[in-house]
Amino acid sequence: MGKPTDLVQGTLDLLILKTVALQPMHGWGIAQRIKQVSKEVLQVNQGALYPALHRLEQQGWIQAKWGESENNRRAKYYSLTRDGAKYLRQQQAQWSRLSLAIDLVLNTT
Amino acid sequence: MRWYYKLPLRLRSLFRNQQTAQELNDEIQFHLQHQIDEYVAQGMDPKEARRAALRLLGGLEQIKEECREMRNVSFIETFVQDIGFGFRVLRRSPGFSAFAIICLTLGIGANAAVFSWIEGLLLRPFPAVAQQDRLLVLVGHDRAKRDKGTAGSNFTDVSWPDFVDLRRNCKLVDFIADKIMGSYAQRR
Repeated sequence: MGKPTDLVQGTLDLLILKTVALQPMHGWGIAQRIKQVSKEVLQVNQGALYPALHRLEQQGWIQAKWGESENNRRAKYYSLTRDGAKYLRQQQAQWSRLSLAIDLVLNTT
Repeated sequence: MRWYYKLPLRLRSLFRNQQTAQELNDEIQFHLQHQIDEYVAQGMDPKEARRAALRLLGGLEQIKEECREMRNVSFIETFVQDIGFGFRVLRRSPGFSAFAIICLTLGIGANAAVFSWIEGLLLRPFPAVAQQDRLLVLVGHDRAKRDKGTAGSNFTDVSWPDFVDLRRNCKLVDFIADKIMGSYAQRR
C-alpha cells in the first residue's frame, strides 16, 4: 500500500458525520476511527479536523458534550444531531451517485 | 440551520469568550496528549514525541484561529478590537485627535445649519401649512396681454374682490390665504 491518500475535498465532513453517527466520539477518536476503518488509506489531516468539527457544530449537525475519556481525562465528545442525520443521509446518497458515475466512466471499455 | 440550536452557541462563544477559548485549548491539548502517548509507545523520547505531535497537528495557534473563525463571531470580536485600537490611537496623539474632532464638528454643524436654512427657505417655505406639497398658486389672467411678451407674462395678481369671492365660495380648495406675491390655496 502506498502513501496515505489525502482526502478528496469536501469528504471530510461526510466521514466525520458518519463516524460520530455510530457513537459519540472525541476528535482524536474520530481521526483514529477513520484511519482504522479505511485500513489506513484515509489519513485525516489533523490541522483540518478541528476547524471542521467546529464548523459542523455551528451548523447544528453535530453537538458537543464534555465527558470522561477512556483514560479518565476530560474530552469533548461529538454526537450527531437529528438535522445532522438527515444531512448525512443526503450527502451519502449524493456520494454514492457520484462514485458510481465515476466508476461507470472509468470502466467504459 | 435551526436558530434555537445555533443562537445559544453563538451567544456563548461571544459572551463566554474565555471559557470557549479554554475549552478549545483543552480539546486540542487532549488530542496532542494522545498523539504524544502514541509516539512514546512507539519508543520515541517524550520531548521528541511532543515536537513531532505538534508538527503533525500543524500550527497550534493557526488551528485555534480557524476554529474561532468557524464560530462566526470573529467579526464582532475584531470590531470590538478595532474600536479599542481606534481609541488608543486617538489617545496617543491628542493634538491631531482634537484637530480631527474639531474639523468634524464644524463640518457636520455647518452642513446641518445649511440644510435647515435651505429647508426653511426652499423646501418647506410655509411652516404653518401641514401638506406643503399640495400648495397651489392662484393667479389672475389678463386676456388683453395674451400673445405678448414671454410665457406667463399675462398672469396678474388676483384682485381683492375676486379673492374674497373665492375664499367664500370655492369648494375645490380647503383654504385660501393671501400673500403679497399672490394668493395661495391648499388643495383638498
